[in-house]
Amino acid sequence: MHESVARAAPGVSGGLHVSRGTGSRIWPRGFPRDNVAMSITVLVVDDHAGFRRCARSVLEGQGYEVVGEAVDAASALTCARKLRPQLALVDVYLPDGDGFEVAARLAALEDAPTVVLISSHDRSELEPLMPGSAARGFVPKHELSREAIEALF
Amino acid sequence: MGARETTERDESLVRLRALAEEQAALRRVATLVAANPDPSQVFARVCAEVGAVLGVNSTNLTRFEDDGTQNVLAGWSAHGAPVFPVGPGVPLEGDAAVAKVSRSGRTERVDDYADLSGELPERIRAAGIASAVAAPITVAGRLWGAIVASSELPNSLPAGTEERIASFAELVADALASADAREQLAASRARIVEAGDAERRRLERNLHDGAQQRLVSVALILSEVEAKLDSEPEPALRLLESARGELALALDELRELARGIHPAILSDHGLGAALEALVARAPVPVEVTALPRRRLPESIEAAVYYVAAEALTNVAKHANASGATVGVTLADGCARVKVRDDGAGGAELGNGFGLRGLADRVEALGGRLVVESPRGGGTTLSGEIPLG
Repeated sequence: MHESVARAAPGVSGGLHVSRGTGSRIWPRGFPRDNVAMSITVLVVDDHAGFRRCARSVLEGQGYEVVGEAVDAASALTCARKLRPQLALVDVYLPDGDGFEVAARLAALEDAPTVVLISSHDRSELEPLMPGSAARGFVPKHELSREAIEALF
Repeated sequence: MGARETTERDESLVRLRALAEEQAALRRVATLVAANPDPSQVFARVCAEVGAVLGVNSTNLTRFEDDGTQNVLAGWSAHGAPVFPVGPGVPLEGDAAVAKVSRSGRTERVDDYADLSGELPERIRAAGIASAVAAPITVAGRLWGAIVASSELPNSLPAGTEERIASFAELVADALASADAREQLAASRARIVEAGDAERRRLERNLHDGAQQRLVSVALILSEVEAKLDSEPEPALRLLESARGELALALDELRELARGIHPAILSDHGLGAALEALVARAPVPVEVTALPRRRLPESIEAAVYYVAAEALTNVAKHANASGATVGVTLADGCARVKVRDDGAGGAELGNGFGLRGLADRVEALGGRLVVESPRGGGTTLSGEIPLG
């Protein structure tokens, strides 16, 4: 049943799409699903170079296209405006601000990316803060994977 | 019984009653002082009690300021009598009783202000005062101020007035000393709490930015390895190597952090071994001149260790020194630690959170920390802690 719903709304056209296999989850606008060749563009926002390097490697290995890296809140906004990524992975604690605030400001951009917050803190600390935020959800840094990101939709 | 005998007996009764009243007044002030009130409460009360006990027209309590003026902090007057106004910036020159106290540090009197010249005697006369006796308030060996009892009549303050005011001045000094001690204690408590909080923040930051990030990386690398193991064994192997590298760095950082929290070598092997290890890691050559042969109480070993550690950190960071010495000796029931460098000097207890925090630690053990650091003359940090 879910399969058929998904197939009924394929591709990357505007609006919200129901993802395959999880009828209640929703793809953000512009997310390709069945077409693997067209990878999702990602901006990684984190002040730790080591993490950005690993995240890029993991994400690219799993079919994402990391189009940019930003080290703080200010450069996150600049990069998002310039690169127009579909997805932004934003660390909750940035040297010049708070990931929730960055999520809200990113969400207000034209052609806004979907924001997923990341942190080395665990789910129990951050998930209670998610409702009402502009972020799609939260993924602990050490669990970062395509599967964990897609589970949010 | 003759009239003369009756008069003598009455007089001695009056004297006895006056003495009892004075004792009662002193007791009331002492009780107030013991309750640790704000000193200003004591000032006002003392002015009133001294005025009532001595039967004078007015009293004042004044503080001598560093700029050579006085700040009149409290005043009392018998009903309707004139009084010298309260306030700062009052001159202290000339031969007014209070001015003489500020120079001599002893009780002084002026029996008639009529012939004294100068601004202060003029202002005293303008307040309707004709004679006065003043007694010094001395706090911790330093002349702090004075209590002044004044009369609107010349030559009207009897001999002995000096001593009677002095008894009250001593109580005021007690109140000031204890308020000062309370203030210092509160400040040191606040600093200790603040230092604890700052240390917790530093640890959280270090853990978060250091080992935690490395472990996150290792987790991500391992998930990549898992994905590549079958299809791309060569890159998987390289990833495993980088994971091992990250783990080694995380371990180093955790070890360094743990040592910063509390050096295990100190509790396990004592001060000597811990200081030797500290010295071995120091970036400039450090000579250990003396070490105790026996173990000391844990809190003392820790304090001595941190004095040496902080001093050597400062040597490395600020002193621009080519070498240093560290020595710990036991004598006269005290542990003494001395760290000396040949660097730039100019260090002060107040100008670094580190040194002030160390002084708090040493003082909490009943000891004291002294910094001698003339500019260009090297720095010597000396701590002395009673072995209790």
